[in-house]
Amino acid sequence: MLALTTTVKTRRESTFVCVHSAGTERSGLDCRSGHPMAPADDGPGLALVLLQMGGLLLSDLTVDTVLELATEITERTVRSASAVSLTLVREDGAQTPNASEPVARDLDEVQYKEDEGPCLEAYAERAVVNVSLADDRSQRWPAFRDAAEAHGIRSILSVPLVAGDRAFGALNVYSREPAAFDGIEVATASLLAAQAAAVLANAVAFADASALNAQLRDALESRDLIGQAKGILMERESCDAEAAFTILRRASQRTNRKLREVAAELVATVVERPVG
Amino acid sequence: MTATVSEILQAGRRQAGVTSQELWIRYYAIGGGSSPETIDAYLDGSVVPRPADYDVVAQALNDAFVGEDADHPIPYAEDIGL
Repeated sequence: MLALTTTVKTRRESTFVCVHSAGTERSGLDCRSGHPMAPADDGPGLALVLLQMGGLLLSDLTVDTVLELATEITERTVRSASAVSLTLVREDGAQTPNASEPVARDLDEVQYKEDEGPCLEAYAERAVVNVSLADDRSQRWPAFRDAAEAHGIRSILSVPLVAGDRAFGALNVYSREPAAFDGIEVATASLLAAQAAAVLANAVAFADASALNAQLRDALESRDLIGQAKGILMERESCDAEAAFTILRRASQRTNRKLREVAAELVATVVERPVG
Repeated sequence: MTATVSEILQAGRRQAGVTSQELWIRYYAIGGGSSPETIDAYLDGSVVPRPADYDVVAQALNDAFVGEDADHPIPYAEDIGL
C-alpha cells in the first residue's frame, strides 16, 4: 500500500499530520462541526480517516502517527474537549506520548505520580470513566482533583484502549465545562480509542513475530553447530548422538560454559586442522 | 527423589525467567527434537521425559544460568535417578 504523509493546515492553524493513500484528494480533517460519522463540510471527514487508520502499514512511524492522529481528531471531534491526551501503559509504567495541550500532559503525570486517577482507572478497569468533578461526591483521586481544579478542568472522560483481551492505556479528554460529555461524545471517543487500540495490537503482534523470527533463526544456527559437534564426537568416539550430547553437556558443566560455546570450540579445532 | 521431574523443570523455568515457549526454543537450539507441546507436557507433569530428552531440557535451562552466579543448578537425569 502506498502511504503518504502530508502536513495540512487546518482552520485552527495548527499543523496536522494526515496519512492518506496516494491519489486521494486533499483530506478535509476539520470535523469540529459535524457528528462523528457525518461528512465534514470540506472533505471526506472522520469516516475516511477511521478507514485509513484501520489500513495503515505498521511501522513504528505509522504507529506514532496514528496515536497522534487519534489525539488530534478526538480534540476536534469531541466538541467540549479542552485538551486531549493518550496514556500508554508499559511494563515500566504509564506515559503520555501525545497531548494536544500541556495541561493534559500535566494532569496525566499527576495521576502517574500518585498511581491513581481517571485515566489509570479506565485502563485498569477496562471501562469508560466519565466524571464531572463537582458532581462526583467520592473522595477518590485527591491529588488529581487539586491539580485539575488548579488548571480549571471540571470534567474528564477516559476511554480505555482495549483490543481483544489486551488493554494498552487510555484516551483522555479534559474539559473546562462541568458535566461536559454526553452520550455522543462518549461514543465518539470510544470509536477513536478502539481504532487506536487496534493499531497498537497489530504493532505489538508484528513486533512479537519479528522477535520470534530472530530467535528461531538464531536457534537454527545453534542447532546446526551443535549437530556438527555431535557428528564429530560420534565419529571420534564411535558413539551415538545421545552419548555425544552427554559428552558435550559434561564439558559444559565442567567449564561452566554454554553448550553452544563448547560445541563451537570443538568444531573450530576440526576446521583449523584440515585432513591431509 | 524428593521433587518430581515436572517440579524440577517448572522451578528451573521460573528461576531462569523464561516462558515455556522460550524454553522450547532454547531446547530446540541445542538439538532437542520434541515439540513445544511435549515440553509443555513435561512441565505440567502429564508426560515423563526419557532420560536423554530430559537432559536436553535440563541443559537448555542450565545454559540460561551460565554467566550468573549459579553454576548448572538443574540436575541431570543421572543425578535424580531418572
